[in-house]
Amino acid sequence: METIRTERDIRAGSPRGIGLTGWLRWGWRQLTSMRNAIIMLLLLVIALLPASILPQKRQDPVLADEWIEDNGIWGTILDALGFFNILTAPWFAAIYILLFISLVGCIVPRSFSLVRDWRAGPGRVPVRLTRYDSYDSVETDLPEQEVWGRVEKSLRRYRTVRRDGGISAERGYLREAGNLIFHMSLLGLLIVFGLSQAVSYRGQAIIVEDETFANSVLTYDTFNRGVLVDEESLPPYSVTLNEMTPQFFDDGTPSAFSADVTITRPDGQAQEIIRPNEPLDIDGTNVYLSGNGYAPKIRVIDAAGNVALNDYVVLPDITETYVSTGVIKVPDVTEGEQLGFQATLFPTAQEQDGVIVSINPDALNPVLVTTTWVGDLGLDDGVPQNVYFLDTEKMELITESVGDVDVGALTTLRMGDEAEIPGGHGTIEFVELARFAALDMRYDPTLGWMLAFAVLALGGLATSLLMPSRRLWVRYEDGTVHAAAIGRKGDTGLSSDVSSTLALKEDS
Amino acid sequence: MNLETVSLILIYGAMAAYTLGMISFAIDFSSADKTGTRRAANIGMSVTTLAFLLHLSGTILRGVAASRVPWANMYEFTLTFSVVAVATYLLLSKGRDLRVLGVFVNGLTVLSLGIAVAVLYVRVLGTPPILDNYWLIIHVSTATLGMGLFAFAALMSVLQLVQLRRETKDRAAVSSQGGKATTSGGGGETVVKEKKSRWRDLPSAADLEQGAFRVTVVGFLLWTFTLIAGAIWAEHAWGRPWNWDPKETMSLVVWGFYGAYLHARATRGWEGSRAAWLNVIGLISLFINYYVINFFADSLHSYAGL
Repeated sequence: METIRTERDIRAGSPRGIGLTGWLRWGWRQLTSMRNAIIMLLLLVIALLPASILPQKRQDPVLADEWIEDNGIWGTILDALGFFNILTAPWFAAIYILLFISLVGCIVPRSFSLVRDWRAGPGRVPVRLTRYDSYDSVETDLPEQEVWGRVEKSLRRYRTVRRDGGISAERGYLREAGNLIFHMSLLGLLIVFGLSQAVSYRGQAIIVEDETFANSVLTYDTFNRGVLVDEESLPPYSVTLNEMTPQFFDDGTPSAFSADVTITRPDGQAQEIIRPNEPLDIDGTNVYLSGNGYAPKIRVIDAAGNVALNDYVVLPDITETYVSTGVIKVPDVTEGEQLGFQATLFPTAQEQDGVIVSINPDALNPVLVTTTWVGDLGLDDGVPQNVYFLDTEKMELITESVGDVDVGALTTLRMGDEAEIPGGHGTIEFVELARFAALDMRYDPTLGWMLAFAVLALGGLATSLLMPSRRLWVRYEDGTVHAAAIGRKGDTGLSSDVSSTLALKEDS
Repeated sequence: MNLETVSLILIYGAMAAYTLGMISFAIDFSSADKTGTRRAANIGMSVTTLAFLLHLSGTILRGVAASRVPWANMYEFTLTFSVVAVATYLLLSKGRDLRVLGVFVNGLTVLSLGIAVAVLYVRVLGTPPILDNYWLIIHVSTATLGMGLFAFAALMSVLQLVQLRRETKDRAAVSSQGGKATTSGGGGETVVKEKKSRWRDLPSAADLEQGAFRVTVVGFLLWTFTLIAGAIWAEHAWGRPWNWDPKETMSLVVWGFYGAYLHARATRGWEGSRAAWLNVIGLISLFINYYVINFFADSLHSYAGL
């Protein structure tokens, strides 16, 4: 026979290239291949390892900066490469963007294939069933129609089609559907997370007992919002802390926390209790009890005899035993220089070996110890300042000699005590002690979607891993019923399916 | 003599029994008589069951002593996940002969309990308020179950790698003798000098791979649920479902490695040895998540209790 060639085949010289489209097609094929999906997934996961082990700037910027400083050249290199803020690093974004493009590029064609396979139904019965490992046969003297009836009954879980003198059965559509749903839900989760960053906001308010917090951006201690959040849209409510009650076990570890609050809304007031794991829902905003501590009431009388400060001061730095540290700023002196104090509160103070310690987190014997700074607090510069941080650049520490060293002069006050401020700048009094509660308020309308996608993903995953994918064929020839089945690698249910089909039970 | 002390005594008893089990299984593993009744292995199996019961009682009593589920700190968590791993072994041994794995299961369990008792032990503490919630039962239990299953699956993957190496060496030895033997055992007539193994035969690499896969599948589903339940609890407790906290990130890393393992099992060229390695890497990351992150990372999750 003559071989017919066209012009295209008879080409002399160098081999044809595949052209640009050819290369693009090759690239796409590679990107969406399983092999590269595994490699990209591994890259993503390996990239997350330092995100977990190295301190990240978004989580704990102070610790991250410390790490960079403590580790010299390595710290600088890693920082430049973005290892301390991996989630926003461009190379990390490249990995997960490529991975998700690969995912979509694989899932979409497979969805179409599933629809096509579903429409086409199970394929033809193979001519030789004996070549399959699971092949078995049984003799029967039932009439042919009876055989088919019983076989179809036992193949209830399959999709069966009777043709060519045999039955073709297939199952596994659910498995593939579950697989596709799982992967699409992952994509959905990614999108929802991104949206949630944009439309949600979060703020923390530190409220001392008997004080009220009004919900507006300026009154929060810290406030973060997504780019699409309208600051005017914060719902109008205010929170009054009536009482903050921590409870402790005998060994000093906390056993329970509860914050008794009154919520005031345009349509009325309500009293609620907020506990850990039990946030309060105010018109879609969730309020969480995230911390508590002590706020001593301090009265400072300046050198001229006027009251310069008479207020509760929050001490936000709290150890596990509730030893609380903070700063007291006294800018409103009527004469002389401004005052600043570093203050530490010992809730149940006891002197051990000349040092004051606290032996109980409850305020059974509160003692306040302060060091005094005098000078310019820097509040008049017009630059906003951290309320809890004392800027001592233009201040001087009042010291006393202990041996041949000059240390900050300590003023020790029990509750109700009044003492002279070292340096003759007036008096400071520890009037009384109240607690404060740190309430986190968060608005995130995407939570329901996240849960929905997560549940869908889990359901799809379980279906795709646990449901089998099999084909089973049955043929009837002169009183003998032949059957064989094939499945995925490692499917051990094939022979039992074949034997239960060949059992030809009346009511299977 | 309070419940806490009784619990600790039971755990010590379990450790002793696991050690005896390990020794019995080791005797069987290295026995010269490969064909007789394996009395040492049967003794090992009975002792392992006894050890498991002691271990389980100790764990339950620890929970009773603390008036909550026994998994609120690393000591208790170790007790629980190792009891799950042994339970998996015993359950799968019904209807299958897995006595040859007994020496490894017992040995690793003694090691885990040893670390728990020596390094991680804490007196029964009151539950911190943030953990005093029904989510502790839901989220941490599935984490523990998942961890126990992953541990058992990784043991099988390691043994699979050992077997693959041995099988490759055997095939090379056979073919170097100039025979016509094929890998599937069919082939021509060749008289091969059989190399006597010092140890008992492990299950075939294919069987170990199958076993590892099926146990990993269940573990993976549980771990996925752990991540979701954790996110839901995190939203109730800390006001956000996911914040890339070191523990959260590392748990996702574990999930990712096992996800890669599952993909590998479905990819031509990546089954067998590569998949087994991914399974082992998954377990290593799980142990980093457990032992390293709990201690060293600055995480909201640091409930080591130490």
